Amino acid sequence: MNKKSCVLLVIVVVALAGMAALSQTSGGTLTVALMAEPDGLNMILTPAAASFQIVMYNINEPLLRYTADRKIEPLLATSYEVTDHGKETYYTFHLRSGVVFHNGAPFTARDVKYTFDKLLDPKTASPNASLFSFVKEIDVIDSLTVRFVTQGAGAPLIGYLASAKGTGIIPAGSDMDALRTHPIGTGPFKFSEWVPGDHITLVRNNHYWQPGVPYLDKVICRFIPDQAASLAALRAGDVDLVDRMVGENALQIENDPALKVISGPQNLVQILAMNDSRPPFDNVLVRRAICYAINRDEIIAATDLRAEWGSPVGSQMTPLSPYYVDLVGRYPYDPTKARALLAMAGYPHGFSTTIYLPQPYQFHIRTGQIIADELRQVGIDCKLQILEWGQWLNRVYKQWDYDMTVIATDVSIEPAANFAKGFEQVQKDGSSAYYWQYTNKYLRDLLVRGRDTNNFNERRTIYAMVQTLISDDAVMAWIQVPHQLEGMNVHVMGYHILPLYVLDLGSIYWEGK
Amino acid sequence: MITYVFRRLLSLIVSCFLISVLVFVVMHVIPGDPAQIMLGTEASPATLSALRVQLGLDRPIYVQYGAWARGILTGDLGESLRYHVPILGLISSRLVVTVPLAILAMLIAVVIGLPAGLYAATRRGAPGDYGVIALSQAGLSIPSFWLGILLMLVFSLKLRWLPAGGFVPWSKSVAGALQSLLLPAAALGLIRAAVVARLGRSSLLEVLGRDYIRTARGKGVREIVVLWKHALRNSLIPIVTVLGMQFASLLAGAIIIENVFYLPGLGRLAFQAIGQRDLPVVQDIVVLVAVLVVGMNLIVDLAYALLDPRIRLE
Amino acid sequence: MKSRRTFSKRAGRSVSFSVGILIVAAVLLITIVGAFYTPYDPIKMHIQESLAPPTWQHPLGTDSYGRDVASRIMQGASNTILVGVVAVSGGMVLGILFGLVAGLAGGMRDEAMMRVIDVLYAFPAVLSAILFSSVFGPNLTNCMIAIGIYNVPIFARLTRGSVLAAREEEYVAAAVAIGRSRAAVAWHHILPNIISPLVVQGTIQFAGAILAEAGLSYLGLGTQPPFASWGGMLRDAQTFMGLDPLLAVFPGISIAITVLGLNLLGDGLRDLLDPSFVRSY
Repeated sequence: MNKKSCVLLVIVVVALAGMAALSQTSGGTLTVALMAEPDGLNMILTPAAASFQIVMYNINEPLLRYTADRKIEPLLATSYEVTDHGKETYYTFHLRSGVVFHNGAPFTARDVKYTFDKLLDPKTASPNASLFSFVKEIDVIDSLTVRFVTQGAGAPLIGYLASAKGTGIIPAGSDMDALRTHPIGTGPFKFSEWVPGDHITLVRNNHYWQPGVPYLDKVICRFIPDQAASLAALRAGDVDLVDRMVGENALQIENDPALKVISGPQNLVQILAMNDSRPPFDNVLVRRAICYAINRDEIIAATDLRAEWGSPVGSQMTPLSPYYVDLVGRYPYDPTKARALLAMAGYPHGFSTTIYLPQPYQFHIRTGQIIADELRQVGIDCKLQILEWGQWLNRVYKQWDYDMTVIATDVSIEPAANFAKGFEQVQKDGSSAYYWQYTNKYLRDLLVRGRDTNNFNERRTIYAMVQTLISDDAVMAWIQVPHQLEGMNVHVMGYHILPLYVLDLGSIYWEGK
Repeated sequence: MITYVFRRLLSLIVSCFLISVLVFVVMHVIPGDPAQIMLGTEASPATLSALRVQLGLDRPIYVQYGAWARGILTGDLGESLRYHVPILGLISSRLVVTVPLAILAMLIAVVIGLPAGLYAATRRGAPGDYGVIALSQAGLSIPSFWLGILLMLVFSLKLRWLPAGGFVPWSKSVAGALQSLLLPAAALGLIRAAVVARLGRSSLLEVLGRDYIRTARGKGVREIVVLWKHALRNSLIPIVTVLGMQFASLLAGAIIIENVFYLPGLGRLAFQAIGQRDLPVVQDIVVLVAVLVVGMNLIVDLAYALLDPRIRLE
Repeated sequence: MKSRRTFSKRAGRSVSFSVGILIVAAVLLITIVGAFYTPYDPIKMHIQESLAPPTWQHPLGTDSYGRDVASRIMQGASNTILVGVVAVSGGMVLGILFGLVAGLAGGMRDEAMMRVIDVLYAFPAVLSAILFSSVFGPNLTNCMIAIGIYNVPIFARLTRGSVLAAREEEYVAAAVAIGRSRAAVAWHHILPNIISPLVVQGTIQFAGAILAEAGLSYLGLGTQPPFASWGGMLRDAQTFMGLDPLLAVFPGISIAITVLGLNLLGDGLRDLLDPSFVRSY
């Protein structure tokens, strides 16, 4: 091959690459249907998943991020070092240079410190601060280097920085209240407008630090809490993507050549929680009997409508996590065994109880109805009481005045976050301060050890012990990880399901439309 | 007449005051703390009490009532606990859905119901009369939300002519907005058409039986003139009354239809605000609707007096 | 004896009354049977048989939990009728008492009591029912109470109006003049004379209560699962409308037929009991 043809080849390759890039950067508007509306867009001030979903990675970026294949990779930080200083550990982050906020201000270490100081300041009263209680201080080393000082090993810090609420960096000196309705960050999208009850519009950040990203010019997030309405809107082309579809709607669009469904497990576990301090649930035999009486496959068939749209689980962990241990086989569906255990526990004829179900979460209400039916078959007379969300929070979550409830609990890939609240919060007298009312001193010691080491294998052993222990004690009945079902136009490309409750808009593009 | 109006206005104010106290007390004794709902399952007790102070929920209840009532009287409806935006804007953004919905529904009711009723009255005992009677009986027996579901089934799911719910904002497309209102308005309107038809028929029959109509006929006035000039005007009074009341009740009473079609209307806002314990929003809506209902009653009574000189106000 | 014979004769000729009473009797029969016997257990689930179309085994098909729709409609009938009976009779008794007391008291007390009634009346019915079940929790009893409260002002106004009219009558004035107590006057002289309009209004309100119960159950505020109610069945049906549209048909027909029967009965009764009323049908 002579020199000339070689140059030509290069030109062709470059042109091809350019065309590929062009088809990805072709712009366009994406209209997304979301179930729930944010109650504010400053992630330091709100615990709402609906806010997080829009803000995280899109408007405000954290130092690190999770990828679709569950790896942590750099975002506003390019690298970090961990150094052990006895009782403390230093996490030093080197920040990306040339990054600019939506308001034109350059991104520096001061912004990182401001963000976390605000998050941790008791005066801010952030609902998202408690996870970071082990962070002692944040120091600015130079304009592009920042250091987190943690108490002990601070092992969960890296995972939290990539996934927790309130970690998206905001510009130093910004007003907390103003960010609620007009967020400013470094992300690929800028906030444009919010019409309460209707939609939020984001527009392309033309000065984004990653060249060529994002691909879309504009994203409109419409709030359509009614699933039938969002399905109709998708079919009519009024929206291009419906986030978190229910199975009955996903079934309907599968046969539509203009639409497609993308599914994958999410970081959520549906549970049947029991009040472990209230008889008869204070008896581990009763709790085990209930676990045996529940037919997870039947529940998945009736709620997800397709076996592959839900994964049964046996403990407080998502199969997405590298720390996950499969404990589904610990309690196979076995009504005979359930009856025998009830008899052993002193309830040969069962007992009467009530399951409290949270309105408007139809998914849990449906599950609760099936569980009640299954428990009736082993002799437990199970009544249902539907409480609207506010009353559920008050009665079940706050006052612990309940027998059983069906709800979903967030499970993070980082295991420390899963167990911190439900298994470590105790009252002065040593009893549990969480609604499922379970305490175990040995378990609490294990959890402390899990936080105090940075050795992956050691942590994996510890958290495997934790999962086996709570499963043996049948603290609750873990039911399933419902899969996330995303319905969209066939021309929408680049969507991937993340292991956290975020709609990652930066990678989405239109193709062939 | 003037003293009567004055007395009615006075009692309107008393009624509204009582309603405002009632709804305020009810909203504050309901279990479920707005701060807790906002924080969900992620709150610590310290965060919770901080948020309660921030929202002003720690003050004594009469102080809160005073602040709220003073605001309303000075035209300040307050701020939503959930959205942190002024409630006035929130309510008016919902009224642009609910008021056109109610108007459209009433239009459908009148355009279909009135001619049907008048037709039946003039053909008394004929098959057409029985047809109208049967249809209006059927209409009165069908729940409007079920009619809505059936309409959605046929026109959205099967034929795909109209959206199955949701609302296209007026600013985006007027035709789109009307399209999203058409099915819910039909569900509400067709039921009310039955009411109008039935009422129109019996009211016209009653008027046609009166002496002056007989006199007019006796004098040889043409039937069409008798109908239009003499009978119709007088038989409209009860219909106007009912329409007025229906319109007022639709503003907050369309909750179920707004839920069926997912319309961001006033009723849905109230429904959601109750669930989220967005106290000031619920209070404002209830008082607003109560004022409208009570006020509409007053207007209807006055209109009655003006249209029918035989009615003497106390 | 004679008046009774003419009543039954006229009743036989009234189309509204005859059709109405037939429908209501049929619904009541299904209700009573449904309370003791249904072809299948209306709450037992068979997930594998869910959303089945009508067959000989399940003439109306099965719902999303594989339960027999016909059996659930029968169970729903008893729940719905129960709510109607309790709510309307409760509201009627309270309303009559209120109206009697206000009407007989007269003056400022009457004025004050009617203002309270106005307040109750001005409160949007659905909204107050939602508020009510937010306070006390959604269940059948609270649904009855909410609908019952809505009925109080209607009967109170009706009764008070009749009392005011009756007070002008000579025999009432005479009874008061000879010193009979107010309660005795109300019981012996006023109530018997207003019983017909109350029965007519009661029937019509009963129809309204069925519609109200359906609406509240549709919003999830009435009968609680796993027990069936027609409104609740419609709510579930809407969720699965795209997969099984028939589910949304049968519960609605049940509501419509029941309400139709009661409306016809009410119309017929009005014509029969109140001859002075201009017959419109």
